[in-house]
Amino acid sequence: MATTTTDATGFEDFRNYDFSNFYFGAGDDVYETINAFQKWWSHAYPGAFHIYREPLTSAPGTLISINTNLGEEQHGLLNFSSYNYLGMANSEVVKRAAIQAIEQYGLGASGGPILSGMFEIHRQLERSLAAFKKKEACITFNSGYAANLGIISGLMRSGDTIFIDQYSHASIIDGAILSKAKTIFFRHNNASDLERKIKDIPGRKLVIVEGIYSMDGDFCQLPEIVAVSKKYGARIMIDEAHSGFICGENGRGIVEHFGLEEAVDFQMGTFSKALGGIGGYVCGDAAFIEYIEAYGRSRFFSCTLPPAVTAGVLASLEYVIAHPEIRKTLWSNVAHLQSRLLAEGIDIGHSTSPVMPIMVYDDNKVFDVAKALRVRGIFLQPVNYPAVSKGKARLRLSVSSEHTIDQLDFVAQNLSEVLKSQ
Amino acid sequence: MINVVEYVISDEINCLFELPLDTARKLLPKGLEPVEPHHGSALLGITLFDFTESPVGPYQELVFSLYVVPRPGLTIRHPHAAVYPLVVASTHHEARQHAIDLWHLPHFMEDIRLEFLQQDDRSITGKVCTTDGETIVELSISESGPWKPVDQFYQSFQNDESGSYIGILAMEGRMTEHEKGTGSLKLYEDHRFFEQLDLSGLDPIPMREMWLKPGVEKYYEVIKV
Repeated sequence: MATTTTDATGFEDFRNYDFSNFYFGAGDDVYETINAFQKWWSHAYPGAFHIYREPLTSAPGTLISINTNLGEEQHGLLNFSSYNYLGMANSEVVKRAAIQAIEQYGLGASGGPILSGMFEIHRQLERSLAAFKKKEACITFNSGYAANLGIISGLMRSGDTIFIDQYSHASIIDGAILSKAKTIFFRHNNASDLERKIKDIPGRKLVIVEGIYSMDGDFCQLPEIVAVSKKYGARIMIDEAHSGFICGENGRGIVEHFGLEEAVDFQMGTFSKALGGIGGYVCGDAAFIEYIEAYGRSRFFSCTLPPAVTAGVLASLEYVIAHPEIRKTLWSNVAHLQSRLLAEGIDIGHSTSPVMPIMVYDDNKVFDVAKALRVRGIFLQPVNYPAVSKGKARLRLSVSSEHTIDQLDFVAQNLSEVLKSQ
Repeated sequence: MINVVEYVISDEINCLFELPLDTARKLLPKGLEPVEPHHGSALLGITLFDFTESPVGPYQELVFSLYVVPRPGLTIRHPHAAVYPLVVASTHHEARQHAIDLWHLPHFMEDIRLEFLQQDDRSITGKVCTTDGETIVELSISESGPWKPVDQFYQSFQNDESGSYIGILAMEGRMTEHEKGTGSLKLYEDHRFFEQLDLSGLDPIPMREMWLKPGVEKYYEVIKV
């Protein structure tokens, strides 16, 4: 048998580790973990991860400017990484409404929603959203993350059971953790697995799904999930962060797409994607909304949304309702790019939406692909483990109604060339 | 200089399964905490080894272990993960005694038989039984991904009547891994192997499937704690 020694930290090849290796740590001091992470990060950041967190110096439109973390200014990058599905983030009507609200209300709300931070513009937005969603009532939160935290932890308690699709967003999982309810994950979009896990569970049950899954771009198999949930007496909550305002005949989300608007009890969404702002909301019956207003701690104990953002989101909502042709353009762009990518033999998983995973599978190669695309003027960010499953690394492409056909063709052509060259 | 004991591997299949956190905690000694890949769930590893070279010659081994929170800072090299072996079973008495004496690993005290059935480079099944022919476990990996070189560093927490130990080991070789959930597990829980092993609530669909072929396990040392 060989006799050797080990004196290397193991971080010289940073790709031998990932974020999951520094999450857990026991011992006497948290700095043992922090220091280990820092040693790894000192290799990983310059090696690959510097392409994250790069500050934009322009609006998040289809063409953007960036100050790279390596000290370079990049202009005119073709942006396929934004949630700005309908181009509302930088629309004139939204900017005008926000500026007007700043003139009227000032910058911040200067208080939480219960005591002093509720402005008339907030109530206007809530009424408009409830009317749009054909629900009795609505309340808003400071972010989609805060909304899921507040709704789930406001509703469920120790002794209850929450069933979550395994691909659900971190905010749903964190809301469940905060609620102290028992949490059971079912396999992605798999109603049979949900049934296997829910059938013998007594007590109060909540099933939570997303309309469009944010990393895979596939629709929730809502009819099957609803059928199982109803069969076993569970309430159903949907997160329409990526599907709200773009799916369904009138933009009311996946629930409208499947004709299940009445069947889904709690309908949550965000303002940061299709509406181009920030914030979260939940719509439901008045009794539910009043209960969450009373017990949704992430809302109760936060300063209310800035009035300017609220006014901008309201203007965005009204514009989107009045201009259904934007949604049509978006879906036309989605269909065009999908067909181009598939024609080039590019794997986009099971995507049926503006979120298209460009599957690379290799956790390291995905960075090389992203960097090669950047050189060609395309801003398209990589996602690897642990943000997605092992061996499921991808570039996370988002289509906007603002993209031109030429831009869509350009990204398809360049993706094809880069993927073939790697 | 640290003496390293090497175990050459022709095939190792390792699947990670989720089980309730409460179940895992009951199996762990005080001071060890299970890792929680999903809120409320712990990770059980079931591993089948085919060792072609070792200090006690060729042998095969079955290991049930829980993934636990590692101790960063304990070793110069940062651990990729840490495990608490619940029970180890070997095909040979010599191998069993070697692992007990050197590494303080808890053992099922009967000899086992391990058979690998490999259809192709993408799928493999391991079947383990005792010498009386009674099956303990069948474990299958399917739809493997690309094969890549790996060099992973582990901490292994062990204890016996002589004390508590941390084993330091590395796994090197060519590995494929995925989280497609296409593998399978069949536990024969009526077998006496499971008498001290309550795995209530174990999800039989693997969260992750890993296959090392070929490889080497390098056991560096055990530290008494």
